[in-house]
Amino acid sequence: MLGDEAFRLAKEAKDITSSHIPAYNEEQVRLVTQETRYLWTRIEEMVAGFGSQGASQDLGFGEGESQGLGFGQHESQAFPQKSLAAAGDEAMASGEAQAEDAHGQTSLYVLTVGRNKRCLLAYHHRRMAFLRSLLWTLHLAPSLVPAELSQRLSPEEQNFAREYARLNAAYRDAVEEQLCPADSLDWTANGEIPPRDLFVEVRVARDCGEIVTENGVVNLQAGTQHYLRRSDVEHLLAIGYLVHINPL
Amino acid sequence: MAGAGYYDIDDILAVQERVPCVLRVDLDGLGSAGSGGSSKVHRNSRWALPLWMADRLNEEDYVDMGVSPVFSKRANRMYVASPESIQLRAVSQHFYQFGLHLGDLVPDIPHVLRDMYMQRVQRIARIAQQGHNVESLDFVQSLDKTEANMLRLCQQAQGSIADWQQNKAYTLGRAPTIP
Repeated sequence: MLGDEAFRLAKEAKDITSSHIPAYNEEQVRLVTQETRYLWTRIEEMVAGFGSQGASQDLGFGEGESQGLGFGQHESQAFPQKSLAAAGDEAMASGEAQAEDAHGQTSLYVLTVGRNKRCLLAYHHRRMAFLRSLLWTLHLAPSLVPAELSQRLSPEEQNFAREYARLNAAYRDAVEEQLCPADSLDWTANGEIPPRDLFVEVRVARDCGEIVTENGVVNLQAGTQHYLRRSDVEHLLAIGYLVHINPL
Repeated sequence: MAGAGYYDIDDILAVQERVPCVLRVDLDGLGSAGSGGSSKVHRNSRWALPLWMADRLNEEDYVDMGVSPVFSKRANRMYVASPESIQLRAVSQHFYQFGLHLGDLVPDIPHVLRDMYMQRVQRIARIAQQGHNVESLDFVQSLDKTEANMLRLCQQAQGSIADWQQNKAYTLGRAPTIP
């Protein structure tokens, strides 16, 4: 049935949880856009057919009015449905049931195009939201995205990640210049949970090399424990290289 | 139920549910083999269309939309009679959202939905607090997506309380998105 391909995309979008994202289904997206383009050419053909039936209305491509029970206000296409029905009345008056069929068919195609569009947009929107929250947990360092995750992203999405981080950095720099030229702000610190301790006890799970702290250089070798300033190691905790040990 | 926006995936899935319709015109592309092809459905025949299609075509008078069997009079009576024993997942995975969309058509639906939800949600909260046992397994398996989500949230909240009591609430962990 029309719209089934798009529905498959919607189901895939549903699969995205906070910890898992399926691979970008380029094939499915291509199928849906193909179907949509095909339908649109059919719609244009059929509309051209209406015009030649003597209906003197100018079916321009303005913004359609939104009808409906409050779901999908944007689902009505750039195609005035009312003038379609009006043209239908004229056709009925001339006794052409076939014309009515054509109008119904066109209506159906228009609805499907809207539906496809909605599914495509929702799919990409969901993925983008996932990516954005991922970036913030990684403290806006797209290079820290694990390889297996970035494999599942399309090249456009990876590009988005880089550009988003870059934009944020540029904004932060501009703000810092204005407000506090001497210091550097950490924008990615979690704003909702206030930090409890200034220093945290951590054990190293994976080799991180060396990090620079206020008290000098610390060598983070796997298996060692350290008592470090929270702000220095927060990003390593987020990606699991360090494990926070909570003293009881 | 979360706001049904344009981008809301749950809403998109919910309006895919089918409703029985009677076609007023011949329509193409409704067969299961994809768009086009020789699968033309003729006027005055019955066909089950997804709600997103049926609703708009109904407004244009190209089809006559009927009430889905999910909310038929008999079904509604059953829901009112014994809300906790209905297998909602078998009836419709998006029972509540679908019902909300149909709410304008059948005036009973909002009351039916509300009563069902109120009864079942109490049981859900009880299960979340007291934990699963064998009896509640059937019930848990019969929840639709909205209710299952609610159960998950309740269980999460319970877990957070335990964590906080054991002083684990402030442990910094790895982000859930990282495998």
